[in-house]
Amino acid sequence: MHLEIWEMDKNRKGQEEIVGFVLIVVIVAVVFLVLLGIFIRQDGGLETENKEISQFLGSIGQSTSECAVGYEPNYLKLGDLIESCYSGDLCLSGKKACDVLETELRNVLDASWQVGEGPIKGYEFNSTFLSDTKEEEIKSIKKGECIGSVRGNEESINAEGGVIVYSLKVCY
Amino acid sequence: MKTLIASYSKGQIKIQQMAFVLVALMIFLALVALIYISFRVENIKGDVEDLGDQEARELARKLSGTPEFAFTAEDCSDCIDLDKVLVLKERKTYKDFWNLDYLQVERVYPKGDGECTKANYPNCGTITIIDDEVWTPAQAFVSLCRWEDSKGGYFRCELGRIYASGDLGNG
Repeated sequence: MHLEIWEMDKNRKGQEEIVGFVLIVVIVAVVFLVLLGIFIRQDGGLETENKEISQFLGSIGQSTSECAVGYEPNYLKLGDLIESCYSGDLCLSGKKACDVLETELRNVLDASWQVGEGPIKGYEFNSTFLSDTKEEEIKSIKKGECIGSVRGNEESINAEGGVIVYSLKVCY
Repeated sequence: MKTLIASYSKGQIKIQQMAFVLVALMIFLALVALIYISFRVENIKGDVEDLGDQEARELARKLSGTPEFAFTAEDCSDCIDLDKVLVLKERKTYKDFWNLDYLQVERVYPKGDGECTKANYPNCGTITIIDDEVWTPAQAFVSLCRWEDSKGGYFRCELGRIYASGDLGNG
């Protein structure tokens, strides 16, 4: 009888130790999870309202393209050229508006964001037509690899029956 | 007597055990707190740098909105009048008009070479208005608009950058 009580007491003490150990493990795990959360949030690094890129998009939208429509010198702004590309227009030179848009966008992006030189690892330009009923990609240009910290922004212009949104993501 | 001594040392061992666990836990929590604080400080430093950078860009952008630079032929807040900038360069009185150490406009695309003069304009790369002391100038993308004489004449805008350093607010 005396031995039984002693053994029960020993078991209870063992249980208490296990509960204590589990509590410590739980506390440590919670702290690790919090830290992990902070690390993940750091690595995500997605900034969607970058001022520099906003200024860049606004400025290229106003840049004059080599595509004249109707008469010369009615050269379209790059922003309007995106809309002409969506409509499938032809420039007076006989080239497709989309081909001129692609060439000009590549040139202007390469001149402004030198991939591989310095911290820039890549960029992604996208333009999309959005309306209540549909969403259609107009032109998408990518260069390099978009991993790590990303800075971006978007601009929109009114178009017939909807809106054209063009955005740029620059990856560091 | 022997039993009493044994029970006393068992209790001591338990207290010691708990003390060790508590000390280890405190050290661990202190380490975690240190890592967290260093992260926060790093973040705040980054935020401060970003804010400084944004402010600098705003300075350059604000400058492009002043009457001396603004392109008013069309409704365009992102544009500056390159013809005006070239004239501004020639006028030395404007050098002290803004409280700036450095002010330059650069053509980004199409790329141009060399400093602009009346002789090579617009086939040139930069127009430097103030060049007192070069710190790290703030830069902002702008659209550089000018009158193009060819094909009957039209306004042509190209991508550019404006570089400025100093304090426009006190100018």
